[in-house]
Amino acid sequence: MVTREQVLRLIEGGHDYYEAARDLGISPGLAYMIATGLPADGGDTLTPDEQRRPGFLGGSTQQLANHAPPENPQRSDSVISWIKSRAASDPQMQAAATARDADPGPPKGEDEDQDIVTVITRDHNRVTALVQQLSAIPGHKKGGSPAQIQRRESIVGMITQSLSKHESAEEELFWPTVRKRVPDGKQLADRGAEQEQEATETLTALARGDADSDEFDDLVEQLVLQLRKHTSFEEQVLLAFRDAVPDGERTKLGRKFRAAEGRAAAIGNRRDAAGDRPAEREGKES
Amino acid sequence: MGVRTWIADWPALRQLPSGDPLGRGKAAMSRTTKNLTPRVKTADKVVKSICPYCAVGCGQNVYVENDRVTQIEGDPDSPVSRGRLCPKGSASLQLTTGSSRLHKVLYRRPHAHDWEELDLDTAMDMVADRVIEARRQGWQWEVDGKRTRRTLGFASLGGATLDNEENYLIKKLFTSLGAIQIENQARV
Repeated sequence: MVTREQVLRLIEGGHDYYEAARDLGISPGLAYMIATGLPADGGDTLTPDEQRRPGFLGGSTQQLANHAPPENPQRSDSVISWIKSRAASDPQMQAAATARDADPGPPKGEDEDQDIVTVITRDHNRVTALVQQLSAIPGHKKGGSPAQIQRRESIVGMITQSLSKHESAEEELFWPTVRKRVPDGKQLADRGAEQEQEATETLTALARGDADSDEFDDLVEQLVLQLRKHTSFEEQVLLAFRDAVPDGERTKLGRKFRAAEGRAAAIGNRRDAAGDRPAEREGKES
Repeated sequence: MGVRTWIADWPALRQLPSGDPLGRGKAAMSRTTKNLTPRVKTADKVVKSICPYCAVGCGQNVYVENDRVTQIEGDPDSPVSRGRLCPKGSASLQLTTGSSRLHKVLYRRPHAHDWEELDLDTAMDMVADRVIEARRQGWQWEVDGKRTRRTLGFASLGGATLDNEENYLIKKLFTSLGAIQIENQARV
């Protein structure tokens, strides 16, 4: 028969209850019971005297009496796969996923270089990436699937969004400086503004049109051409601009440009909030 | 069983070397008693749970062996019940493993007389479809010229056996769906 003294001697000698119980050939819960007179899996509120007993362990001791480890199940694979399959078959979730995939996102190192030439070039690269995706996906004419047509529409939406803030910032900061500082600046600025105007008109027509139609595809082709022409024209202007305007000033302009883009985006968001936003239209349709 | 064991197991003889000279302790134990073990001893794991019955929410230890519930006992660490369970709570093992427990989803179609059995997957899809449909039907972008972005298509009413954490999750879920009427009965 194991006595209290035996258990306590082992505990005081640095053993824990598992080791002591193994040495004595009894279960850890029983060892605790023998040493303290308290059940390891008891639920009583203990008096201060009981809590001062030799061998007493504060906190939860039921582990000594329970042989099995506790477990807290928090996730079930079948639930997760069910949610995934639901999301994959939902048109609205599909559209959101498409938009997320297609959006190239802000390029890396956005905050490092503030030179206005770099800032504008980055905007161009972003739009060029979107235009390339747009040309790669077959539309109505080429027998694209409904999902592909929807994707084209959402990419056009993204181009519109990027361009509108880009153009309004250019109009405010870039073209006026070109006019003043670059040789033949006035003609260049006029031509640039004219091209932008054309692209904006095309985008407005696209926004009104049905993505599943021949007209939409024609307009998209027109837009792709206009954007290519405009981008290459503007890159030439940028070269001249770099020679005409010193470094420090370009950085200052770049910072202002980014701020202006932010403001334009905010105005766009406010306009969205007032209505006429795709998500809103969908909600009302059904 | 050899002759030696047979003699050594003789209680009158056993009490001498086992330190139980009066034969009132271990020496008098029968083989059946000796081989008895609590059924929780062979459990693979203990899952902490809350009693499903009333609003008190006593803590439970659910013992699981080979993915089957073998025993349910009070959790001594629960500040609510300190290891106790009422008779009904002590019998929750029968709620999970009893023969009257249904393992299929039953569905009664509108105007039907009888229940039909459904797969859980089908039933879950039906619930999800109805939630999406009801949300869309009851959706309000604006009310009286003010932006609301809410749905009146469904509401949430939780029972008293939901704990704080479950209520938190339910509130988050329904708010994200656009419901505004979210309520639950309080715990005791």
